Amino acid sequence: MMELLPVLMFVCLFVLIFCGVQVALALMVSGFVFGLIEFDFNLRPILFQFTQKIDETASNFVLAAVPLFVFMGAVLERSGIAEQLFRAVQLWTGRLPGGLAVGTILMSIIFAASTGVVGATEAVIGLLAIPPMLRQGYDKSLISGTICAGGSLGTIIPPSVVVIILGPVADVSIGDLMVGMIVPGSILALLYLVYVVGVAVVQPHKAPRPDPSLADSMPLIDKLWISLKALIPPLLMICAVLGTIIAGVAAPTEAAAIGAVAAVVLAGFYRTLSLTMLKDAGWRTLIVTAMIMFVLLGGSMFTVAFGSVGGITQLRGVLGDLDVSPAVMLAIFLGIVFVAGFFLEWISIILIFIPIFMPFVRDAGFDPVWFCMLILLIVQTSYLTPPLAPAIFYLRGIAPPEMTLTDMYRGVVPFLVLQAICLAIMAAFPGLATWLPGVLLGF
Amino acid sequence: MDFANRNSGWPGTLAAHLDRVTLWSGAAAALLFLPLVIVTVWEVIARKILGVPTTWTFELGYMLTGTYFLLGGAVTLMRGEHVRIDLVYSQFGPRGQAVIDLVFLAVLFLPFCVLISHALFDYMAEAFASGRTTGKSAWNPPAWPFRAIMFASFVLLALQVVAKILHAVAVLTTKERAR
Repeated sequence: MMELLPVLMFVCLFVLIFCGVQVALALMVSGFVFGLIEFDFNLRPILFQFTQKIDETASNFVLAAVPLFVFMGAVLERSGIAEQLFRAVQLWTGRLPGGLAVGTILMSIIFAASTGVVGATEAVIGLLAIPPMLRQGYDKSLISGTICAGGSLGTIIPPSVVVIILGPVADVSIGDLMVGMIVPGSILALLYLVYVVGVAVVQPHKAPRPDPSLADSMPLIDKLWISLKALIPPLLMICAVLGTIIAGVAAPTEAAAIGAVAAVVLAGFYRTLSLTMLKDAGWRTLIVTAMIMFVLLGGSMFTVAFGSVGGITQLRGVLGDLDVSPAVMLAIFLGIVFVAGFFLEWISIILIFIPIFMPFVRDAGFDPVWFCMLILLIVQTSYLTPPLAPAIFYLRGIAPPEMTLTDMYRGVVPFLVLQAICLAIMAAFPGLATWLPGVLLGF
Repeated sequence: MDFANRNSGWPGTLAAHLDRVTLWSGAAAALLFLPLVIVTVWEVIARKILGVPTTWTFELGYMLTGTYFLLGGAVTLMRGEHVRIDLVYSQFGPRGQAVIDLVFLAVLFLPFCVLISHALFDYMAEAFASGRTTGKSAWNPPAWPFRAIMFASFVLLALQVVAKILHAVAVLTTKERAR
């Protein structure tokens, strides 16, 4: 009878979540109820465990990086920097095959490297890039795929809020993860670029070139000036944030604080700084942070209760009895996370599965940083996989009505293939994940 | 915030009052962002430029972070921004959604909030009575004020849960009257 509790606990959690109960609250309540049952309806032990979890989560200074990075992104979104960047990037990519899409992806990369969150970035990029692409007659699926995939890059290109949550849960240094992401992030971005150019060359009707008679006559010097003005400030900020982490000057939290200040300075530079804008960004930051942290809090409550009902021991037993090679075990883990990504969002995925997987990963002798990179790639993929594809939801919020949901679903498919290719590359060559942190941080 | 419920009698009015409390606590939390940035940046300056690491920034930093998001929980609930998977939920009409909210919040989550608030009160009282300090840095402040914030945050969350329940009741009763 008692062996059933852990299973029932998960069933209860999923039933609540699928009825549409807030994930954070569902985690707390199902943890609480099953903890209570396990302790024979004695309130004291489970409440004691939960108070400890609240204290622990609230006393974790590393988590300060979450609001700081969120704020940095919220200010940047409202700073008008995106318009400047888009214009500057277009000057150079406009005449390439698939130029608009290439420009959009380049802008996504720069944006992803200057913020830690996904949703809002995608909206900013989409609002800017969709109208010109439609005007130039781009295929609607290609537009959708480009925006969704580009928007999701924030997860895998540092700095990333996902890593701030993943690091402590997986017991891996956030600095190592931030640096380790650089190579896989770049590979993925490169794959996107190659694909978009490839489509434009092979199927020119999907990405028509601009009318040559409209060729711009802007002198090179003006082009350079516009580009410098748009590129230098964000690049300085990226260097300030990533540089301080890489150089070991500052902890991720401190780098995030520097980034938050830098974003405000940058908005001042573009003359978009105002009290209304800061107030707006401030509210947004509070809401997004509380949303993330409450899932984190709920997840840690659920996990501690899951341990109490014997779930973790039991799961270890099941996984230990599987008697498969470590490589197969790894594939199973990644498969579970991939499937979970259809239905759950990233914080829940990380909080529910990573604590269970990590001991096996370490026992099997896999590099934890490398494993986290694979997880990050899958988490980023989960932004694109229906039915719960946040990237598509955001796009639906901003896309004009002539872009249908079918266009969007069809559009992300090729990019899912690119995700798989990148994952295969990373899985085959663990050195790609561990080499850069080894060189830069020397562990 | 939600003045549409004014017509539905006292539940709507009470809910509006509770929402105002939540909104103010949220505004207070949002303002804590400023000291959080200052404290964090100050630590970098003190350590790297002045060469004198501070003793207090670490503890003040985590306390500000903790207070920030714990207090933010209620306003996030009020605005309906705690993530939910709405594949099924969005298929229900406003009435169906109100039923789900009402049942979950009243039967499961409100009792949970009350019990955990009670436990956090004891947790605070114990630290106050014993004069316990945090013991996490050289600054080593008393532990009870931060625990008092944890307690207050869950009380505020419970109040917002009550407001949500009242809103759900209002939705259900108003619709019935309209029929």
